[in-house]
Amino acid sequence: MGKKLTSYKDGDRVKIMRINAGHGALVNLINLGLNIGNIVEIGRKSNMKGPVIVSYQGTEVAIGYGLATKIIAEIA
Amino acid sequence: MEFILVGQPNCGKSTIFNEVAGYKSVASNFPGITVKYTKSHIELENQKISVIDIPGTYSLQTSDEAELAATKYILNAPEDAVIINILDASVLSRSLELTLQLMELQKPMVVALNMIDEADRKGIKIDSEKLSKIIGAPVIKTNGRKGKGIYQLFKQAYFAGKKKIKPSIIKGPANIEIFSESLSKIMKEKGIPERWNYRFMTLKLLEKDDSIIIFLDDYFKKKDWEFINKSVKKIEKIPQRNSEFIISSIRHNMAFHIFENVAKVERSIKKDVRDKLDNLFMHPFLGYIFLISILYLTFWLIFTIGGICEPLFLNNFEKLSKLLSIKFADTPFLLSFLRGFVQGIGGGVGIVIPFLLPFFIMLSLLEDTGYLARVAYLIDNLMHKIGLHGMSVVPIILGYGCTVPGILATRILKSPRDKFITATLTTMVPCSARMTIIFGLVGFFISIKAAILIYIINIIILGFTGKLMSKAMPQVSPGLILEIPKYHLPGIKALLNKTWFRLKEFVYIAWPLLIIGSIILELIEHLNLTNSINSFLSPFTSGILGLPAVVGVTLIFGIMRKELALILLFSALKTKEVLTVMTPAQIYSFTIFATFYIPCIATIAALARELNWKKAGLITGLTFSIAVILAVLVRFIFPIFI
Repeated sequence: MGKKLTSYKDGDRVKIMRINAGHGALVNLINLGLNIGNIVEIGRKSNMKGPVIVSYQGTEVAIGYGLATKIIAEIA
Repeated sequence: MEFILVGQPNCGKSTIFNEVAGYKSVASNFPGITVKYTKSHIELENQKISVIDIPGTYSLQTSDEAELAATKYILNAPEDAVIINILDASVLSRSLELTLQLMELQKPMVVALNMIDEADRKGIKIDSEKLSKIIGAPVIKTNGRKGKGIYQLFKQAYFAGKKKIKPSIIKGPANIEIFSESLSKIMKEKGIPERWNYRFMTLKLLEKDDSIIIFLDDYFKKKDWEFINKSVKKIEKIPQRNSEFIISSIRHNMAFHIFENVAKVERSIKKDVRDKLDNLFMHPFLGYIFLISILYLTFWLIFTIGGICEPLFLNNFEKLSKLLSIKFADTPFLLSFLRGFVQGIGGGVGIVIPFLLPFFIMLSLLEDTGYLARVAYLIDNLMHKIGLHGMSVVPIILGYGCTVPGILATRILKSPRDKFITATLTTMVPCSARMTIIFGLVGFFISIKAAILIYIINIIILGFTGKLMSKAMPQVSPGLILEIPKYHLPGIKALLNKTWFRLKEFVYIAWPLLIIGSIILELIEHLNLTNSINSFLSPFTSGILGLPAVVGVTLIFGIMRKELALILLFSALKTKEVLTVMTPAQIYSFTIFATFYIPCIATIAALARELNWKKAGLITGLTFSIAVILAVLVRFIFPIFI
């Protein structure tokens, strides 16, 4: 159930299901509003394993590729 | 009375602080640059009030140095402190999450809806009175960049402090409130200071905030921790989720609920020109073209300005030095001392005004417009190849200007490992002083291409070193999590403040050492120690590096001030026609060695300050070894090609 954040296309609206990251990264994500259950839009995914950009409520956040693979989401 | 400015990164907090405080704080469009807090004083209602600007923080949940500093400061603030919470009104819902946490502290507070113009542009209309009623604190609309609403904000803060109005308590689910009540009783019994609001501490415990746990461990016994663990488990049982998620979800939903209640989005968010800019600047291919062009243009501009200005300054100091030689000819010791002093001052002026000043202005411009965050995004996967991430790019770029501010900028990195690797790489980046050696020697006597090749070799070595170091320290880096701020037109005041802030690090840390170094060098010359130093070093300089023995002392001098290695080479060789006494291979090998070897004393001091003496020593040893290996390689390989 759910796929990695990196497997979605630009413009997909996804709901975050799980975050399999360490406490430090987790707190950072939550602080920026990337909590479980939140809906974000994928934008500007660079093609060379670069960071994934997600946007929600007018905020844009770049998430490193490695970390983005640990975020599991499904189409909202 | 004391005002504490609290807000999330990019909310315009430092701009407001600068507006009232003058040249003290740094506005930043790159999250988390102000790690230490800044203090200033204002006069209001005939009273002197301290204003504290603490680092931008997304929440009071501590995950890095900046957030920890913020939380600690607020918790231990004096009785009569007032929290001024500054929000970016254009991202109200997210900003309210911090506000909700601040309310939990139950200290007098006021809220500034800053960047209200930006919210207007997005079509977000906010009912500030309604918001004020909900949170139980005054809410004022402000526009920091234009200075609008700021006087009113501070006045309201003053009254809030006088009347000691506490914000509302917005209750959460019953089971959490019951837990909080029983834990509060225990906290009171244990004598935990009441200013650390008990309900706030309970919520922090549920968020599993390490620093709070350590904090409470002084008071709690095993029995208390058992009670806490049991209660937390009970709270986690039904939603089947960790308590930190539960608390942050509650807060998130509450913030969104308040947002929906007080704000109306009148038209759907229209994409403006600035979004289109990112289609170019963050494009997977064009983005890099722009990046290279922008960086090239920046450096070209700095070198052009520097090249024109430098001789103007240096000539005057040379004249002054000659004048001194005539005036103090009878007292040679004093003369050496004074000459060293003047050269130290002159060397500083010769670097600061021509190179550092334009460099820092350009960099602040890139930062304040928001472009630097895009650079971090673009360069992230490249940096991953050497075990780092995009954030490390800032110290490294700063290093091209002056290594000292570059090292100090490693503060923005969260993990000690990333900090160490980045500091090592920054140390090896040729700063503007080393640039004068590279272009003054190789560029002048061999060719410009050969000089640029040194930069390319340098980047390759940086890559290898980074790779090796990250292999040696295989801990996982937390990875990039970076808000990409909206593009802003930077304010002149904030821009100048920031430039000065960075320049200050050179002026106060590097410059005094530069002056002391110059004096020592003059005295060495005065005491005729040059020859003994040269012959002492000759097994190394001539034997291993294959250079003329006279360069020995110039390399020692270079540790004090990198660019002195060049100036003194001329005097050591007794000619400016270096080619008559050194082969091109020797020139190249000398330059490579001088680029990499021991960092200047100011850099070593900065490394010791940001990391520790042991790591500073390790970095020095490492760069020295690299310098020797490269110089020897050049010694034997260079003649094959020429």
